[in-house]
Amino acid sequence: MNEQETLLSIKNLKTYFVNEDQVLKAVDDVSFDVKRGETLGIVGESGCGKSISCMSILKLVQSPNVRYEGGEILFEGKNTLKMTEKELRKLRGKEISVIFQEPMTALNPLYTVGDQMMEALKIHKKLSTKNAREKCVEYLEKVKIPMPKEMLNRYPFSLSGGMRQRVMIAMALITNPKLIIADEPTTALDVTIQAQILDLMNALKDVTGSSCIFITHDLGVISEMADRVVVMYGGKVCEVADTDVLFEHAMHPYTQGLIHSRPTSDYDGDRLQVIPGNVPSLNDKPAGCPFHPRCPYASKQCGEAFPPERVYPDGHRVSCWKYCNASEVQ
Amino acid sequence: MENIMEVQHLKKYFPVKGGFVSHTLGYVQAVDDISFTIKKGRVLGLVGESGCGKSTVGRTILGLTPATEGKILFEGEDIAGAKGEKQHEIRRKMQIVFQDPYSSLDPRMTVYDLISEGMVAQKMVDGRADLEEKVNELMLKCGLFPEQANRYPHQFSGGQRQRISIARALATRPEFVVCDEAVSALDVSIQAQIINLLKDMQEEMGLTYLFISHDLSIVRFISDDVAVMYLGQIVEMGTKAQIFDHPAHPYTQALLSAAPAFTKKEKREKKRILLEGDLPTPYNPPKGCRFAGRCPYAKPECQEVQELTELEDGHMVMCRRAQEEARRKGERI
Repeated sequence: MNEQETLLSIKNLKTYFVNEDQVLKAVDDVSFDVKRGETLGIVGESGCGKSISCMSILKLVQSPNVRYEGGEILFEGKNTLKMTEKELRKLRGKEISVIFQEPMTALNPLYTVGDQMMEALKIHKKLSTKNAREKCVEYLEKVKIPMPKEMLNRYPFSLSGGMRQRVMIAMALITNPKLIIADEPTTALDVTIQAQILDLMNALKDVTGSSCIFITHDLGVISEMADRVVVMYGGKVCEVADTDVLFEHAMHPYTQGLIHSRPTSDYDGDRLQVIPGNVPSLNDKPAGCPFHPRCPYASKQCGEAFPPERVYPDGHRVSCWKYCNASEVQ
Repeated sequence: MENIMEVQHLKKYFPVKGGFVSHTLGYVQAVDDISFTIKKGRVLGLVGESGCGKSTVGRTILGLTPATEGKILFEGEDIAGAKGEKQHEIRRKMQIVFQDPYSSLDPRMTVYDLISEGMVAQKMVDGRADLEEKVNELMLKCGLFPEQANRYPHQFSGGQRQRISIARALATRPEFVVCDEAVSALDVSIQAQIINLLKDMQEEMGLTYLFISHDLSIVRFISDDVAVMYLGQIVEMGTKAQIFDHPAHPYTQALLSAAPAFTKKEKREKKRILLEGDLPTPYNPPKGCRFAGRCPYAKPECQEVQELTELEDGHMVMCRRAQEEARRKGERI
């Protein structure tokens, strides 16, 4: 398998919510790629469009007002935005599966774990109940669930948060998908349980070879999980870089602010560095670069237009006027 | 430095009812025999995972829920079960900032009403003009604009709402403030602002905080002393340096190692200890060490009752193994 081969390519995606009197640009001209076998982290604060852009891939955004206004999402060369519902169903759960944040609401409380796990196998792989059960047990073992056979007959309410998330992961993996979208999979969990799940996901990644999009607001989790990171703010991509590069040499002022506003173990200052102001809400997003009202380097230009993306030879991409005017040397 | 808060053998049990005549089946031991002191002007960080009882400790101290047993000494006076005038007086001196600024502010009250409520109830103001001046001053201090005084909470963002909560808590000029996961619901870039505000206010007003949080990096930043809770008990307690640099209890060690590494340096230095299994429920917990079921070093002796014992200069730990190790080290020296 070619490491550099692109599996998914999102180009100029625009996902808007259209109300009677206003248009909310939740995702506004977003582009990024996912390569085969890689884990791409998407990081950003609430309302930055990180979940919406990923749910757009399978058209899973649940709102009657949603409009895919432009751009394309190429999964293995086919545009999923143009697909019919029937074609999308063939992708969902088979080629691309999703791990949601809240495992209690993502699992159906009225069906047993086994019923829910087997659903995808019966639909996509046309397995018999007996074979499907065997496969489920195999995958529950993979996610280290004790007594997997008994687990099949249990209902989600009787499981702890960590166990539910394990079941979700097993469910996502069972059809051997090419891409897994993990939307804040550990946010609802306690730290020690989060550590277990992250460890498990890292181990499984090496075995399955699936690509993964890992959405989170937690920079620590991103730095442990992702190979490459996309930083989003106000519906736009600010910066894309390899994980190590991003944490050592963040270029966008927002990324820098985000990294510095977390106290690290060797920080002994008296106050934390702060990004002033508030996270903008969708209905009064500033013009130009959405970050400019909070940015220490903002100039007049920043309020007028969103900066063009600058791409460096090592793949580091940044959208900030500060670098558009600078010389070629990084 | 004098102790502003001293908690002795605090217990909080919640009865579990059931059956036909709803008799008590047993107790959830949310807080089980906890003792600690907070010195004036310091910050005690209380950490632990969900369900370990850390919020219950905060609420019980403030008298928001009555304690089952134990003493709560505030400035040397036992305030457990205080009523009437005394309770009124304590309420002025002790305040709380809740986790969720969306549900902790009354949606029908304006910011002005929210902030002034405590001052009016405590009869701390001298007429309308004085009240207005005090509210304005508080809003400015907490990074809000006095023009916004007539707005309602829903018109503010999460960070600003938390600023309102803080202004409201500080309005009665308290001496002791419980911050119950005060920044957990906020975005990362806003968390830092609120943490700095809490620190500013502490310096300005000489406050003492009980800072309850599950976020270790924030606790490490803001606290002077740290107590680690597990299933209703404090398993380790000490200064920030003692806990973060020399954690003695296996649970503290695992908890510290579980927090995702951030910088490259942290990643290199870190060896993760993965715990088996989930957090058990505090409903009829085991007699001995409550962590024994998940502990990588558990031995049969751990089933016996454990005591919180001092290792050195106030570094307390509830673990047989850590205590033995410390003893051995001491002998060698």
